[in-house]
Amino acid sequence: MFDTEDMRRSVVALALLLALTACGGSEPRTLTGIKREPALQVGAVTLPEVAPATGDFVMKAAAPDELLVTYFGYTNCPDLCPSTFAALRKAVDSLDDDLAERISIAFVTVDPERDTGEVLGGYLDSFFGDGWHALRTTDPAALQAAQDPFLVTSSVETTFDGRIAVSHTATTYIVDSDGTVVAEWGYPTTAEDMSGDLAQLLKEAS
Amino acid sequence: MTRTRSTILRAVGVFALVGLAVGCGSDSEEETSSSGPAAASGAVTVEATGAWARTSPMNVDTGAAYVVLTASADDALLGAEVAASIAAVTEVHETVAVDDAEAGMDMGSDTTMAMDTDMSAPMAMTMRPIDRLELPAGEAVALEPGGYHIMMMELAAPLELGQTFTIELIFEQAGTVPVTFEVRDDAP
Repeated sequence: MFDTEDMRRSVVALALLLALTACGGSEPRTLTGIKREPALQVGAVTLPEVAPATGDFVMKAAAPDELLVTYFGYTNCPDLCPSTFAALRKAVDSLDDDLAERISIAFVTVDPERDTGEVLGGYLDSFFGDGWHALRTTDPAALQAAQDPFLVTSSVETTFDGRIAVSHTATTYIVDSDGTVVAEWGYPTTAEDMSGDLAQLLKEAS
Repeated sequence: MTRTRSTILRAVGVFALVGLAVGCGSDSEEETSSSGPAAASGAVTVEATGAWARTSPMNVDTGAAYVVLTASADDALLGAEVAASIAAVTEVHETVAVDDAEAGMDMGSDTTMAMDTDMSAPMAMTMRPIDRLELPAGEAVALEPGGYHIMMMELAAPLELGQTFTIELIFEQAGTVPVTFEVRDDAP
């Protein structure tokens, strides 16, 4: 299974390399993220920010030359969330400062009962230092209303043996200042692909 | 109780294999002599490489550990154990799309939210514990982000960058194998 996957990747990589060579390498870089047609519109989503600021947060980048990277997850998630954030941190760190400062991150908890503002604040601070917004609502309808425009689904369930099982869409969304989702990264997306996409999208946004 | 029984079963299994190897006699001796001492004795060995666990983000008491396993003969990973000084509960988990997971989990429904049925929507992901992970002979099976992982719950302390600790991996044939994991921000 891994062999087939590796082979498929190699073939894709080879095809890309050939395509690039054929065009003399002058073609613009292809975005790794998915561009949906029509694009998702999420600018009407408003959620309470609980850290570092408090108050309503509107799901848009703050300025026309900025981007907002949005993820729906939970802090007790040991696998998908931290591996996505580790890649995202690496991607943002690898950008020049003038680009990196035009990116902010919104984390929406799908597990608000356990993810208090304090928990979220410490969690995001340990990943990103600054430039992040922790969003949390304890109203299931409000969370659902925030998820719907992203086509995100999530659930928090207690299994028969008393465990808390959480599910969530593991996609990362890049939102511009109009509230348009300009690209989506499925899981997994490498840090290199993320930084390449961010640089390209920031160029388009400026 | 179950622990003791499975240990005995494993011991019997190893015995049977040793018996088979001995029974098969000398014609295979040339081939096996080039292998390590364990392989030569007929016991199944599992090679563990690239063992790492992710650095704990702040305020989190769950963690995941990853490793690539290659068994010398067909085997299966049945579980994992870690010292109480690291975590209270250790399990082998699989990250799966929700559709696949529903068959394997008996969920309560107290806080379930309506699922979006839009076909163009990406599938939600979840984790489920697994009883066994097959390790076909000679095949490298990766426990890696987004797939299988060793889930540690109720961490005694945050896993700190550069720290190393031991997880005992329990195999059906190879028995209990202690493996050293390094705490890192990313895969080695």
